[in-house]
Amino acid sequence: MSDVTHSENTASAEPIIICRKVNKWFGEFHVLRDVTVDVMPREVVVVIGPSGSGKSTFIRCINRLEEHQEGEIIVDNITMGHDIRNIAAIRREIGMVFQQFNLFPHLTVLNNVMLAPMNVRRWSKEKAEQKARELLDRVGIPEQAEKYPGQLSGGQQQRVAIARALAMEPKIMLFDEPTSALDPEMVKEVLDVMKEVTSSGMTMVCVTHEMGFAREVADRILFFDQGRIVETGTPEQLFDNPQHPRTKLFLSQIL
Amino acid sequence: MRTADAASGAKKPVLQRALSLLTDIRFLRVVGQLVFLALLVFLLAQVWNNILSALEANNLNPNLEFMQNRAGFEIGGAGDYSANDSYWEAFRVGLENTLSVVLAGLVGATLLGILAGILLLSRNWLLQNITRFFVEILRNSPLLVVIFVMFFVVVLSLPQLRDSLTFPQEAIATLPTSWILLGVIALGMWVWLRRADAAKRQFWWTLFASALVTLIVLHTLGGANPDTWGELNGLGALLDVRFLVAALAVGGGLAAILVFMKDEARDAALAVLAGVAAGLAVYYFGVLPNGGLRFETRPIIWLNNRGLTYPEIWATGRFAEWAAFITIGLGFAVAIFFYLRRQTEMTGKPYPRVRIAVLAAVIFTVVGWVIVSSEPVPATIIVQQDGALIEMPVAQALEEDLMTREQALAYATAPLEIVLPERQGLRMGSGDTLSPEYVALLLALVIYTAAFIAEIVRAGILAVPRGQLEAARALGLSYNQLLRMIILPQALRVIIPPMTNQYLNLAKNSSLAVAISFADVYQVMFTVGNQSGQSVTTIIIVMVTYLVLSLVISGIMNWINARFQLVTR
Repeated sequence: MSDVTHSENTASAEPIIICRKVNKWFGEFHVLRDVTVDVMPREVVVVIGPSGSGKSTFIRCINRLEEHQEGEIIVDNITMGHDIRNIAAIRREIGMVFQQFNLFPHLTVLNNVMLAPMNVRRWSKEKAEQKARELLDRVGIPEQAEKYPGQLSGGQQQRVAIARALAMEPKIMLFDEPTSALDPEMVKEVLDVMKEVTSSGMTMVCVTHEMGFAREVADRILFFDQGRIVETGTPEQLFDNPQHPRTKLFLSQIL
Repeated sequence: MRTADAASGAKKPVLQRALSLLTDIRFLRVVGQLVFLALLVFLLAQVWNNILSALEANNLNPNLEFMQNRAGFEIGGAGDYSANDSYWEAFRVGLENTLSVVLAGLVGATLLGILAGILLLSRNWLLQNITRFFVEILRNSPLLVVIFVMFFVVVLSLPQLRDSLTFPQEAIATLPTSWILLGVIALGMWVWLRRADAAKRQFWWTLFASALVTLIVLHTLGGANPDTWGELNGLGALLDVRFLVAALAVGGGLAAILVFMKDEARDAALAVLAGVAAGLAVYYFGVLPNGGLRFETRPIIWLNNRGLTYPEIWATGRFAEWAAFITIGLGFAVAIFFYLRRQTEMTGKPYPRVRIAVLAAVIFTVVGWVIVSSEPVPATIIVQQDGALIEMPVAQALEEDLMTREQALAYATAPLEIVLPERQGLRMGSGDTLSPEYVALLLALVIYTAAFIAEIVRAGILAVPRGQLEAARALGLSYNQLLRMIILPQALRVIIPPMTNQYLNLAKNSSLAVAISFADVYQVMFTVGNQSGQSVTTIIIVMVTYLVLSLVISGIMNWINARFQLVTR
């Protein structure tokens, strides 16, 4: 799937995530200010910005791990509100990968991956197990299926977490700084898996500090500062020719 | 010949090697242990010697033979024991009392503790802080004080026998037939609408609610049926007109809604008006019957300052048959459960396996009861009347109250016979009674230990990292699934070890029963020791008893604990 087809698709289809004027406060602290963004199906959006700029909070609002107070979030034509059925329906279509992996330590790797398909999607054990083994194969650790998360390295755990999220066959994947808690030499194995996921045509929103990865796979980059989307554009526009002074400053400090 | 045993090969003088041995850590470790062991043996031997010589001076030698002597003291509330029995028998009664209070205490403290622990985490400010208040008070009081408060302030200040608190109160209640009917309709709707979508559910419940409101309003305005309404107000002639107007208004409203309104608003208005129409119709045609079910409630539990009395439950001659039904039912339920679980695993189709299994067991139990109770009774029975044995029909014997307890049980039709507590003059004539001491001790142990368990449960739940909840929610697990599959298994891992400590504390704390003269194993053996002079032996028996009890508890808990530990690298 080339980049060209990506942009053609995105041009024609309806956005799968719509955020309009999303605002959120933590007490007095205004974390998200009028965040407005549309994400097209199959689009890969990378969110960058300094720490505390609200980028994690933003993607956590998309599957309601955080509650937004103003504005509108519509995922796959379902409006995010206080209706628990809508929340459940949206969460079924979104997979999420966390910075700290958050695997279930009391379940084997295989059971971690099978848990949600069996109990949320109500798949049979065979179907769930087949899917789980397929995914473990895809993320490159089929031999670890019977082990417990505590017996794996960080990189392997994060790959299990990606398999666990994919097992629900979501339409959208959210990544919240997936490589930040990893040893440097394990970052690559996780990024490789993520690249493989993007190439399969998954819609993806990813918060990361890996600029090389962002440049390589992103269709669009959002730069957050103080709860606002300060600048947005393709990797080329944003990295090579940033317009906003804050973006320039940020990039000059990390590149 | 001394070869080079030093690695260097250089020969050292003997003295120097001996000195270097003195600073060798391996040598010092062994010597240290040996010295400690020697000291310990010496001390214990001294103590044992002292005890033996002191006993000998009093012409006593420690063995267990005296335990077979006549006890000579009574124990309150022990039906199968008298002062003529041996010390061993007294010990048995004490042990039974201890085990009974410990077992009931463990169950009660666990349940109350878990409930309180969850309440401590409640988002409801009031619930959380009330619980916190009680937990703090209990955790910071000595147990002895709690026991005394329970005994003197709570249990002994209960009313006298003739003013006993009873549950339920003796009364006659009437449940109107119309309410029963409405309840049945509501239940039917609930079952019918359980799997319906939200819009349909809302529509029918709105209809039901507005019909109910209409009915209540009409009843309050005019009494139980339209005839009396007319008579009461002297408006009988107008009655039909009024209903005509109401019916026209409602019908017009319905038509208007159907024509002019759209979508959700239309559904809502339609439901309300249809409900009002239904209410009017039901009222006007007097569909709802009068009358009702009469209930006679009789007290099951009596509470007074002589203790807590509850019904006697006797297994009759037919109990074994019924028990067989129950056993088969349970086996069947277990089989169904595992079969359905396997089916769910194989096909992914969710069967309500717990509900089906429970239903199967209940059906077997109920049907078994019915079958067993309907078996014929022998027509006649031999009873003693006026000193002579005569044969008479069972019904007559029953009526004239001539059967002995054994006969009554043998000839009863039901598998279980329940005798409700009843007062007979100045004492309880029937019913089993828990002594005030037992009730006070149990209450004190339960609430005191529950306060500690509450904190353990709270800590256990809080110890599950937030990320676990977020991951589970992000996967779409429902709250119940999250609790059952993610929080509980991980919280238990943290909860069980300190819970074991609390269980052991409860078991050993039960010996504080001596403060309120409850005949537990310690109190009994204390008396035995005083009476026989064999205090050393009796103390050893008590220690061994508690040791065995503690080992059993911690053995079971360790086994459970091992099953919940995480596998890590």
